[in-house]
Amino acid sequence: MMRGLLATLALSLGLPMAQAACQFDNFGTISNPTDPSCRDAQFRYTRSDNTGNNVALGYDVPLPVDSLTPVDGFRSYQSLFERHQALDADNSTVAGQVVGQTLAGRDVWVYVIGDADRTTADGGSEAAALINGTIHAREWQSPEAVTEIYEQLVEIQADGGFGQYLSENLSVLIVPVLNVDGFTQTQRYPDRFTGAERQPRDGRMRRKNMQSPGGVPVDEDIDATTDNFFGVDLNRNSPRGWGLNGGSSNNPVSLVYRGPAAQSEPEIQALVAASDLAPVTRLRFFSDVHSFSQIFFTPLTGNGRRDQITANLVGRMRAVLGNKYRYGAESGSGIGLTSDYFARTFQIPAWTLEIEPLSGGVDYGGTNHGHSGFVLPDDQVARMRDEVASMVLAGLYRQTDAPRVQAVEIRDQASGELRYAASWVADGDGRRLDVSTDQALVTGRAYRLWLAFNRPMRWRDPAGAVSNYPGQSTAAFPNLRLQFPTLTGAGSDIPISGSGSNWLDTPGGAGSGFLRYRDDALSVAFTVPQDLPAAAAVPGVLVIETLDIVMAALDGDPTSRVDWAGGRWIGYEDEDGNANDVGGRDCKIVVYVASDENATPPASRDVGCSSAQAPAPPPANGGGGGGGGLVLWLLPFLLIGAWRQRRRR
Amino acid sequence: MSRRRTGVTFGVFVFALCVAWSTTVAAAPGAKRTEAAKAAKATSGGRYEQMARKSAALVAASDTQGLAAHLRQLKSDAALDDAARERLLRATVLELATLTPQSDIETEIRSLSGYQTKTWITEYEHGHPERFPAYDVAAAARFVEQRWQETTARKTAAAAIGRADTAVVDRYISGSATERQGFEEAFAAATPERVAVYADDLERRLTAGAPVAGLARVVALASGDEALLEAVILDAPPQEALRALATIDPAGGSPATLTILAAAAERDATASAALLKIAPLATTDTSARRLLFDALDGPHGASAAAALARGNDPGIIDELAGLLRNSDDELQRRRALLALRLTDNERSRDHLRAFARGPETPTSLLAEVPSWLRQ
Repeated sequence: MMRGLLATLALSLGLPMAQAACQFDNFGTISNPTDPSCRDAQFRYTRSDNTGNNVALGYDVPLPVDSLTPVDGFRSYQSLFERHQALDADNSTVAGQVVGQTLAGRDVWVYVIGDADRTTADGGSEAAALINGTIHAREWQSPEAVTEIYEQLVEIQADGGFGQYLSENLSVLIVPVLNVDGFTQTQRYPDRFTGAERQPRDGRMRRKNMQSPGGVPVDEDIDATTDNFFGVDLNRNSPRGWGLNGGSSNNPVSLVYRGPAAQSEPEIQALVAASDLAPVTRLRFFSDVHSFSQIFFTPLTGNGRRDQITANLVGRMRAVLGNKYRYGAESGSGIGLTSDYFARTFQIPAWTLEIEPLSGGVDYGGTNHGHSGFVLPDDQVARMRDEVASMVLAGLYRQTDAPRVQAVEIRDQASGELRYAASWVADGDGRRLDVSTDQALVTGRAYRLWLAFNRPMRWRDPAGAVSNYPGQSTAAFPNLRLQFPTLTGAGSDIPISGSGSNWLDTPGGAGSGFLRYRDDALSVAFTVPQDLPAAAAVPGVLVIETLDIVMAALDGDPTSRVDWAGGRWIGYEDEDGNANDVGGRDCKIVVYVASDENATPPASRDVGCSSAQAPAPPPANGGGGGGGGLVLWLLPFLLIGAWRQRRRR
Repeated sequence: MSRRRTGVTFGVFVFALCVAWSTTVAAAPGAKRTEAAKAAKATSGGRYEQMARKSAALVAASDTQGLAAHLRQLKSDAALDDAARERLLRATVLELATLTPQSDIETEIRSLSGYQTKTWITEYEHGHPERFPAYDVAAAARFVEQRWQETTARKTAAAAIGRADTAVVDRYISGSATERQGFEEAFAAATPERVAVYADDLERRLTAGAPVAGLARVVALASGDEALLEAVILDAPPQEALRALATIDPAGGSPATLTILAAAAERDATASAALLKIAPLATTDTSARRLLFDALDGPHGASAAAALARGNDPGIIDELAGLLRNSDDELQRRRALLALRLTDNERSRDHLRAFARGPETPTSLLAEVPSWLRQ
């Protein structure tokens, strides 16, 4: 008894008498994988039993639950797969497709979510987003979060607002489980692992796929130990940095073994096949969903505009959860990550999203043994799923398109007579403003303005009140003004005031309801001042300045369609026509005002708007919070610079 | 050492530190990894081995006073570097979880629960460097404190169970999460006869909404009380209900099993799991099969379809194909289609091919077939 206890403690303390099981070289690779003391070592997760080779987590060991519907915990692969298939079979807006087979011959599926036409509601070419899940087998947070995104997109697709907008204007391609063989292996042994506590490997802690150097896949028997360390790290198998920069290993037993060649693995080939369905030319969002460490880790490609757009986009997404997720950027040439491939090859916003926890099981009161962060407690799973989905949906909305004005109508408040009506219509590759009614607005009279945009512009809380999307800060009512550039002095710039209640959440179209989506239009009354010096008709510019749900400013010139190419927005301009990736105000709607309702229109309305009201761009990174990798990277140079300065004195 | 050399050394040190901290992974991989390697090798040296042996001996002897003194010594032993010290502290602390605490050792553990880690490991598995404590002494100490509380509660509850003291349920309700865990462990370890006396009371309280779900589940399992288990499945919060449901073995269950599962299939939170539990019965039990077919056009019809598919039964496949061909209910047809897709054998594929070729097959359903047939 005494001897057994001593041996147990000696093992955990790493005393020489136990031969210390697995040994590690300076690069963190196991250096004695064939030594039986390492090769055959087996451990078991428990709630609170640390004796022998048991490893106490400090909370219940999560076990897969067979349920298609979400549970407060993790679902089995089979029931997750059945859920994905059910959503596909039940919804014409989902198209599932096999994009490859794993080493064991299991299908890898992608689900394309969105209406079938691949064109936007106004006839443009739809954007596409690709979300990849479960590339690393043990990261169980990933399939749950990615499935939640899939579920929510389907659930909200006919909500008449935000969800319907996404469905009609964006194709979202979701690969819920890429590493099917590895994931099923982790679920086969949900409380067992091999290797070492410092670097747990097969069973619940398998990270890699089931590839082995001999070409025969790793067997699924955890007790057949000769091949337990093998497998390719699928997130080191992509081109763009493959085998470079010290981020991977050529040792087949390494946790970060890159494989014999870039894209050698069938799972990675399947991911590429999935992206081809977008097609890649339409992609402008890629997220590889991992756990853990709570960070958006983003390759910098050297394309300044892409990098800044990505930083802004991630900033908006991080803000959804109060910046609890960090932002990290990597400026090298990559290490073969999938995000390296998509960011650098296609110049699109792409990242590795590491889901919570930040530090490990200790974040939930656990023991913080090595790698406990991969074992999220059951009671955190439902919250985690919702949080990740709300972040990602914000990002998808942002990348679908830029906000812009779609139509305007002005009616006499008293008589209801239509005085002005215009809408943007397709014209070749772009648009033109089609003004169907153009009558003078008369001084001293009250009017009702109906203003419609191309997308839902406001979010509503569960009670139905106009509110902010979590973490965003958009004024309830736009900054609307009627400016008279040919006049000077007081009265040449009239604000049109309203509140959140002016946004329209009932259908009805022009004049009374929303145009296409709930909250894509507002209706507000205004009066043209009696004392406006408008004996002769003067042009009046309707200056529209607002941010959308995720704080993107308007495309100032809808004449050119907003699209994505070369790592930047194209056709996304401010009010002066400058392409700037952040938009500006809309000054394209020019009415005219006179003291007589039958006045002749002014000779020219090419007057522009004043530049006094420049929109404040949203903060790049959600207003602070962790991360700061670049700053840290610069820190040594700054310190050394300071030290050299001091020496010169 | 000259002033200039000190400055250079300091600069290099700061540089290395910041490289290790940076989220940039591209530079100096070898340099970055030495920190981890150093921490991992913190087991060498005579002093380390001497102190490790002492820990082992004191734990084996359950000498908590000696361990308290030993922990104090480890904290301040100048002959140990930080990595070795923290490895020894953590391993020794974790071993204390099974010992009965005395005041000396409780004080030491409380003190260590706020221990500030000095030795960190930088991991690169995430594609970027992330720092973690090499040996999280504080987390280990907090775990031991929690385990001691659980053990105390377990002993208290075990004594109460021995006396058939019904007030133990009230104490469970008013206890902390940690104490409840200890209580549940005590009930799980007691004999069926001892815990059975609590079943009726727990069922009554559970259905009245009292927070006894965890204990009720444990008692139901320990006593084999099916009525209580059913009450947990139907009335407990979803997570407890699902845990209870997971314990049901349909194949080896009693005749009441299908009744319980059928009731669980009516509860939204457990319906999917319950229908999947019924799956193994569907090939042999006609009432189970009927239940699943009847559920196809219900709110959890997809789960019923998945359950029917799991049996891989020719008769079920043919019946599903009949529904697909002949039903005038679009939802039911979609669910039949789903079940055939999920069955994924030659028989089901034959049915799907025939369906796809049928002149009256609606386009909306036809679109769902080719991807599954790899056409």
